Amino acid sequence: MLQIHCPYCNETREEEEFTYGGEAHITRPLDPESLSDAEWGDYLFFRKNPRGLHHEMWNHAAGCRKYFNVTRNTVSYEILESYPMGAKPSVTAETGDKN
Amino acid sequence: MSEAVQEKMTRESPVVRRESPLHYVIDTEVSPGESKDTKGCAVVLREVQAKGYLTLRGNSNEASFTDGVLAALGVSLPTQPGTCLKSDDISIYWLSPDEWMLTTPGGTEAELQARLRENLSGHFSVVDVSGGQTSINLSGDEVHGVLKKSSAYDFDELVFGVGRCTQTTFAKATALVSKRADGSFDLIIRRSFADYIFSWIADAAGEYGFKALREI
Ligand SMILES: [Zn+2]
Repeated sequence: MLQIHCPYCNETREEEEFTYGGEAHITRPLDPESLSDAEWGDYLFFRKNPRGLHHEMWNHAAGCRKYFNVTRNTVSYEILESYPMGAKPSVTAETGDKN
Repeated sequence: MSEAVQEKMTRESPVVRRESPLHYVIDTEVSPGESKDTKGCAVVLREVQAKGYLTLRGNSNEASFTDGVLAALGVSLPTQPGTCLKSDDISIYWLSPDEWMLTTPGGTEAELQARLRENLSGHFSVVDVSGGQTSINLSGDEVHGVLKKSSAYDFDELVFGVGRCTQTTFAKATALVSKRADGSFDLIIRRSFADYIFSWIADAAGEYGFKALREI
């Protein structure tokens, strides 16, 4: 079981209170009409599947019902940070994976 | 409508009573606050029926919203995560940064809603959700034993005192849990889950000695 910190409730809770929301920081194209099928398909369906740091969304379904972001290591499952929607991660592949 | 039809309808209309979701499993009725012989029962469940429930949403960073709520309720909105203000009259529970649950004595929810609408303007929402909730109160020496069996949340006194509230998983369903000054716990649960949660608590509390009362 993961222990996940919700930045809105400001508490660390059990994984069973949350649902996974997939890759974070995907921006909806401003002008979908101008995209090629490949670009639109990439936006809709294609997701990163990194070995190591991953920025992903979680929903605090049994709590405040808000979505937020988590930086998690997909190898060790270690959660390095959680941060509200609209914020930028402080731990990235560039700033360095602790592991 | 003919007089004969009207008379028949009056005569045959059943008296519609507002019944609590647990009226058919709890037969011991008490008045609010009334103590009952619960000797040998380390867990006592009281169903607190027919309260009014409203959900309120808005931006607590806007003074017009918080001032309006203060004017309507006479108390300030709790803006700290996981906190609540409880009274016999109106209680306010923090649910999320922009959502609160209000409870009010049964029958006064429409008036409370009207008062909020009078005092609020702009982007906000007030919804009467009375039909979908019910409240139970858990007390007794072994109440923590039942909570530990039912939820992964830590309800220990050190971290969860009076004035705290939390929405969490309870018996694989969900509950909004808070504590009273007398050390008992209030659970606001979904009405449709009431008999399932009642059965769960009765089973979990069985080993400690369990009694259920219904406040009328
Ligand atoms: Zn939360």
